[in-house]
Amino acid sequence: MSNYEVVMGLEVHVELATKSKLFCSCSAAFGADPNENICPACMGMPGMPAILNKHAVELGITAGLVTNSEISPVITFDKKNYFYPDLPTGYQITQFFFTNM
Amino acid sequence: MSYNVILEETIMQKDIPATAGSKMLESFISPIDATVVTRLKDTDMKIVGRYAFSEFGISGLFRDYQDNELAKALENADVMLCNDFTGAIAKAAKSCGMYYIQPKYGTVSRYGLIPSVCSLDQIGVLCKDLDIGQKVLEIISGHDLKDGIMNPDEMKVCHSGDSPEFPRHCGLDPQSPTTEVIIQGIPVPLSETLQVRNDKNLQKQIKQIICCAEFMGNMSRYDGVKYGYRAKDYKDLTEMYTKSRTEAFGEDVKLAILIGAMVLSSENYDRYYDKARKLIIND
Ligand SMILES: [Zn+2]
Repeated sequence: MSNYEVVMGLEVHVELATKSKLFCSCSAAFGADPNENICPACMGMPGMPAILNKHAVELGITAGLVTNSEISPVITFDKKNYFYPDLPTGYQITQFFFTNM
Repeated sequence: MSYNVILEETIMQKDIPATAGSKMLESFISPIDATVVTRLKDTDMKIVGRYAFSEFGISGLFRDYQDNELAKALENADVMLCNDFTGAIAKAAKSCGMYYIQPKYGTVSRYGLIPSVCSLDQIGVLCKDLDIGQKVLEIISGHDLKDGIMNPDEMKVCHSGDSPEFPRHCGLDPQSPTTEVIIQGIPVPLSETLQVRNDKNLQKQIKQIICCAEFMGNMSRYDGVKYGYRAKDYKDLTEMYTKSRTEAFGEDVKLAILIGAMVLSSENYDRYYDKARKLIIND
């Protein structure tokens, strides 16, 4: 064991208090009946480009600032492909190629 | 002046099937008008029909389109709006005396365009008369808040009809990166030291890798659950997915999905997709 250096990373999740979802204008509120807060975009229908929720970016940066984190001046998004019933489009919009500039 | 416009089957019109030329979407009724459709409807242009060169346009990656396929598209129309992400439409247009105007990336809204290869998807104009094509392009171009990856800096170019910079090159310019693309078979692994510029074979190979990788991701939404084709008999969820996709996708779509899955797999990712991306960025 002494041959190894222990390196740990933390994946930190913050729930952002936005009114609407991250990539469409549907309500993000809890408590509605099933399939109430859906639209063609979050149902994964084709032809619906993802539109980033500006307030989510602001709150995300705020969360970074209050935890004394480094804030990147640039953010980019990528698709992560996996085929699973919880994912209408078959890909997540995430940050894979992202490097802090 | 009013002109007759035909739309590729990938461009969505509210309450009308948007099939993308695929059995998968034969029953898919579009819930919205694409932005280009809305803009045409705001003028006196007439939308006269729909046409598909191939399923999701992907066959352009594997074969040339024939003169008669283009002639048929413009049989009753002055222009056609279509997404020539493979370059096959521009190539065929050149050989049969038509023009394909390829706008700069991000200058025509993709809201309501069924995606194939997002980093190349762009609605362009196929026409017999460049001036008419340019008029229609001016109508459909311009910033749209419904498409989050537009390029507002380029917008001025598209609005100034007589600008010398006006991007009307694809049907005319042999140097255009999208004019010549014929790809067959499986790509070979890429080495890092390659020079992309001036190497046509390498360009084709990179295009094939990037196209198939992105195309595969865009096809994964068609699972038979919420819309589109669903197989009749299946015993569980996996079989529903498999049968629906097996029955509804054609040969070229399946080939592109297979190549895409291959170049993105963990064993091959570094040798194909990652290198293809880096070669584009570095060149
Ligand atoms: Zn939604």
